Amino acid sequence: MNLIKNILNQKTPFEQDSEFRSTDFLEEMKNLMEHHYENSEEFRNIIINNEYVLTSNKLEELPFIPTRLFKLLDLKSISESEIFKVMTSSGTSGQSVSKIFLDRSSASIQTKVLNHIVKSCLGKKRKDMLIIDSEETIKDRKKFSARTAGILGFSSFGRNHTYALDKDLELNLEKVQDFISSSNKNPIVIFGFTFMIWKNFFLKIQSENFNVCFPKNSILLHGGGWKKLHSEQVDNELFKESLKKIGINYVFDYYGMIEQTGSIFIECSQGYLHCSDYSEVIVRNTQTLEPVGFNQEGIIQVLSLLPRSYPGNSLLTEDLGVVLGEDDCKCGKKGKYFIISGRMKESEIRGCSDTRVI
Amino acid sequence: MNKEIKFYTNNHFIESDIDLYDFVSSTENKNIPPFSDEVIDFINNFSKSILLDQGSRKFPELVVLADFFSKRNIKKISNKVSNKDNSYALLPLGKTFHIAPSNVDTIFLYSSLIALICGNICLIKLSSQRTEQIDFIIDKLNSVLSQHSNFLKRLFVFNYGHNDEITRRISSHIDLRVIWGGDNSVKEIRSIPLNPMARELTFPNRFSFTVMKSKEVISNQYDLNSIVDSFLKDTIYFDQQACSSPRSLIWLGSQNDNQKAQDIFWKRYLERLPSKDYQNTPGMIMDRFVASNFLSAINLSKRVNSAIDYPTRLKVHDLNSQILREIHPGNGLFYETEVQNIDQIAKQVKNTDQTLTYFGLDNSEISDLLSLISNRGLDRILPIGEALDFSVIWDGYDLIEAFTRKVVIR
Repeated sequence: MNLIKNILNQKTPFEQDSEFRSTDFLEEMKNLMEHHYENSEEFRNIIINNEYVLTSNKLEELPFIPTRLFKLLDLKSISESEIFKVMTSSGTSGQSVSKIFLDRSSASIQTKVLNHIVKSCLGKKRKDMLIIDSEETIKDRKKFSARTAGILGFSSFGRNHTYALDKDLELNLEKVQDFISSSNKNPIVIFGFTFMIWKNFFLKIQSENFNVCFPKNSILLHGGGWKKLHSEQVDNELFKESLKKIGINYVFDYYGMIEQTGSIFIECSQGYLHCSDYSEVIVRNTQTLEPVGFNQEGIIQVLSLLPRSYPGNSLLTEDLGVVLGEDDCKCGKKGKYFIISGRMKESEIRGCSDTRVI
Repeated sequence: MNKEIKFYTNNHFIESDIDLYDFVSSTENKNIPPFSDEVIDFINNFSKSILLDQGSRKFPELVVLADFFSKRNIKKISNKVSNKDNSYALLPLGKTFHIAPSNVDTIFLYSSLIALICGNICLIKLSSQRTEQIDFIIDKLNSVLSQHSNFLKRLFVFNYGHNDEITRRISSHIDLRVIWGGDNSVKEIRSIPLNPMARELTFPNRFSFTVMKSKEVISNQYDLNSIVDSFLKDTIYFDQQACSSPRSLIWLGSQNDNQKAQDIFWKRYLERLPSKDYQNTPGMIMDRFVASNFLSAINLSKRVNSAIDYPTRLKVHDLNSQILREIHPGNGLFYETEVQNIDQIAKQVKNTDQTLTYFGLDNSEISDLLSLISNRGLDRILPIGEALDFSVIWDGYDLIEAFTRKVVIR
């Protein structure tokens, strides 16, 4: 807990180098695992039944659990009475949902850390914010989705929130133009989900030959993954080049998941995702799950100092990625920098049945 | 509505004015006798066309299917159903509707084609997923159909999207419905009414396991290579996901023997494995990793080795939990448990258990086991190596009987 507080007091959350990861970060990670071992029966069972060791002096040797497990089990290290909020996310399949249990202090730390990371990219002063989504998305609390959570979480980084899409997710151009003119040429923050920014916003503007130009130094922050866009042959380069056409020169992707809300990874000026001092990434070989070196593709393991109310500090995702280096990114930030290169291919369903069981 | 039905076979009448609903609702008698020469010829040509095409070597399961439908094997089956005293006549049911699982394997084809051999008209609904195997089969069916135009109105392979109305309309006219699939899809389709006279067969999720008698495994009487190879054959095909693929091993014997047997069996297994045609994709490893974490979290399993190893071995106390059956992803994962006597095996059998493959059990032990099972469990008890062999008796049904009717004659 103290370590998080120390980092929160830093000017930026990108100041610690590899030395820190192998000392303070490692020690705190071990403390957290010890805490979950004491407080989550399921986590304790996993450690005992798999003979995992919590005392290793190497970060990559500490145990990790699959993110998919949060869809199968209620994993928490707090008692029922301490539950303050349960976050749920629909997975890509839409079948099962992850359930994340938060107590008051975890929820508050998530917000503080997210603030710290995002402000380092957006600047301290709050700007007018255009959200590429529909207001209905946050109104309908029955369908509290990852999208809703994302919008609510990020909306605190702007003011005068305006929603660019109507309830059918159609672009309301007039509203966008009014919004731009009301900003008096001050930079705007645009937030949304990668796919929707492309499909419902940019392509619409382009196909209708709309003349839209955002004020200088406007910033677009987007996340949610590239799966759909990659299948349409759109990569980050094309995405950024395209947005320049409507005056948006600063485009930042972020990578995060509901299981580690708060400690997101944000794209730097060089186009790489960065670990913050709250987090770490380890890439593992897809066949052996052993750590691989820089520039080699593998499965992404994410580590975060935040989760305390549920055992989500060390997770094996199903995303593929490549770490390009550590502490020496040209953007000046310390820590590992990496890219997400895709998603693991699911196993085939064979035989006589027709359902994925886990 | 009929436009939503997309035909994979070249049933030429589709282009004419008659549609599939008119066809299934017509009462015109189109039956041919079971095991007629014309149907055996048709099926044999289908089987030959698979075996003669070099392309089939890529799909060992299709070679096995073709072998099953060879004239030789069909004759053998028909000889067994001979009606010595002529006390009844064996007739087909009429129109049969076969719904395949949404994965793309070809196991369901056995029952569909057996229905055809029994003289029935077969409507086969495939999933919209296409794979090389399915395309290969459709291609062969079409070329054989072009030589046997009399079957163009007896065999239809088609697909339509998720549309209960189409299923309902077809179901209201047919004489038999066969459903393959996961429990949920079977339940869903079963809720769609059938013609009151119609029969229904379902092939839902099942679970299968192997019993190894440890004393026999460690005795030098048997060739350990052949024991291991038989077990490998049962478990590597279909990535261990067929309903009859063994997913668990029960070691029967004294504690000492059980330990020794496991040691020598798995050691040899790992020696033999590299020469076998199995796959272990990252997706399969992830499934094993998730299953191991899940089961260990709820204290149902302990590690023997790790999820990264192929195969992954998990020690379980017993097989009593239904969760163990529901969560098993196939893909090279084995539960292992040890017992000292047959009674302890019988107590672990659940209603959904289908195939028990064994090594080292004798006939009296098998009949003891059967007499001790007090539920619906087990439809097949076979030596190891035969788990995936299809037979006309499946999931407790005699398919020939299920697909025909007997007319009593006195």
